[in-house]
Amino acid sequence: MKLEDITKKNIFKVPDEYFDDLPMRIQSRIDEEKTAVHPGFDRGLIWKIAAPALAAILMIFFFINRPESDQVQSPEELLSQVSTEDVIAYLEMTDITTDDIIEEIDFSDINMEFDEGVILDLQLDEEEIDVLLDDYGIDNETL
Amino acid sequence: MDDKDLLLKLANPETRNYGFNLLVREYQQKIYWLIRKMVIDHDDADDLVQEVFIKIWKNLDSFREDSRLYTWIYRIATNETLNFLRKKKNKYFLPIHDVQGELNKKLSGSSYIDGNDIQMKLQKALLTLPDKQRLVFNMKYFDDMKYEEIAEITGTSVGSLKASYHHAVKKIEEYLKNH
Repeated sequence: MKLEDITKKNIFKVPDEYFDDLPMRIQSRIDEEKTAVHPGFDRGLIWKIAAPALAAILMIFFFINRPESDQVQSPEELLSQVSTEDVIAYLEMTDITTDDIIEEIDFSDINMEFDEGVILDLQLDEEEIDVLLDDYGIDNETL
Repeated sequence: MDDKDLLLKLANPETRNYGFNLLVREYQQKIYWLIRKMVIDHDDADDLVQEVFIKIWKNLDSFREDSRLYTWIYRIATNETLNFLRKKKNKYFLPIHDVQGELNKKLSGSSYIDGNDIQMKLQKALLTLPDKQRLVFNMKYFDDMKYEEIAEITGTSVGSLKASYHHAVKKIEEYLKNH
């Protein structure tokens, strides 16, 4: 069957009067957001006060709980003590997405070996490779 | 009302709210249908279309008149939609969450869908495409948009879009033949 044999039709429907009400609902969401931020409320000022206070609390906490051997563990060392299952369980409970994590990774620190065999096994023609690169937003010239 | 008049109203603080209301009325249906065809579910499309217009409202000052209002609005809508689908896929970190299966179920179970068997089969075939390719297909096939317009919105070259559309048609016809 060819695509041109199918009658082109939008099969999706909306509730009655949906488009009559939508502008009003959008406007009330915008109004809600405007009132949620109190006029004159300076978030920057709050952080200017909160950040040094938080730093002081953390310094006191780490000073009191410092290891007896005087060896300070790095965040990486601390994280290595947590099991992979616990990390996955934690991540599942948060809103962090794979994209968020990838954005935080510094790939210059990681040695990656490109296995051409994996690509060759897919047996893609040039057009298919171009489409895939485009779908994943990868610039052909950067490869 | 054309985009030029809308922009004049949006630029003036006294008529900005009125101008934005006109903008929503002008674009709501185009943006809703663009999103709905991608997320299938009416409630998801309703949430997303509101998010898109709120984002437009918040970023009105950053709109540069060297790009067209229509293109700018579509670009925000397509980015939000693709991000929504990407987050849905990655939300659970492990690849056990089958978004294509979920959209397929919504397609079969929603009361706000009315098509014959072959039109439903076409929608199911579309769900087998990567999201961006599906978006390009929808804009070209259903909305009759020009490749040049789609290129401006998606930031993809006309040549790649033509290849993507051609490839999508081949995959869809293959699906229709085998199902």
